[in-house]
Amino acid sequence: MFDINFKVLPLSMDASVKNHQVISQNMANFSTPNYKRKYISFDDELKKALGNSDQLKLKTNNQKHINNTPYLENVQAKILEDDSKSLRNDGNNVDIDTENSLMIQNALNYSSQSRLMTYAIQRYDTVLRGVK
Amino acid sequence: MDSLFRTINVASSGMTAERFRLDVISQNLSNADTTKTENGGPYVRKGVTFQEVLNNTLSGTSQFSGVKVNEIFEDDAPFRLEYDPSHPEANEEGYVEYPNVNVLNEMIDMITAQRAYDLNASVISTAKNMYNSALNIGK
Repeated sequence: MFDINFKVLPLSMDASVKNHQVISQNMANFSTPNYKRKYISFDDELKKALGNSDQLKLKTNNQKHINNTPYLENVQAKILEDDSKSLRNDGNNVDIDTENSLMIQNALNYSSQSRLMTYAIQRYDTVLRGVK
Repeated sequence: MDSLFRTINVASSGMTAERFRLDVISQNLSNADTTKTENGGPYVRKGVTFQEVLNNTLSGTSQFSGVKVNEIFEDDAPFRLEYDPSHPEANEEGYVEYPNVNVLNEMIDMITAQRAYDLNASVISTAKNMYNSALNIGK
């Protein structure tokens, strides 16, 4: 009965929450020697599942065929490690300004996702109760 | 939406660069009287140069994406000479070579770096406010 917004938006909101946790983790480990910053890969997986990716799809017409498009239900935010070098002596590559800006972007993303979710619910409300 | 996020990314790269400049300034200030270094001779004043970062997209147009530190250069201005025959580093004529660091100039650079850092921070909060007002359209 419900449209695709009710599947996609909770997934991306979950990913935003996870992203916030990862960014806080990076900030907390700003002074930990040899710590490498973590980041989240979610957008690409979601794009693949929705069929908007640049990646070539493997055509399947049998259940046993290898499928490279993940199902929407299985899309999860993966935590990856950024092992790039930095200018710091202690082997840590956390840049506090970058993390801060990522955190702001993530918070704004979360606000828009929750607004979209509100609208998605309101559309059903309009159908059920009519325009007030 | 993407361009507002780009604003935030560009400003944060500026903040990183200015913070690095402050690192170099503090290195200069703390070594303002260092007469001996590993290479021999007094400390040489360091400076940074910045470089614009452009991201080349597949469609061929280049998008600006901030600033980065290009290099740390050594100032080739002459050293400051002071007459102090009792100093262990003094030459035959009794003069000591002090670093070419001018503390006043470094202080001015420090204020500039701080102002630039603040500016970048306020760019970020402006972009954030713009995005939030965009979110309030149709509310």
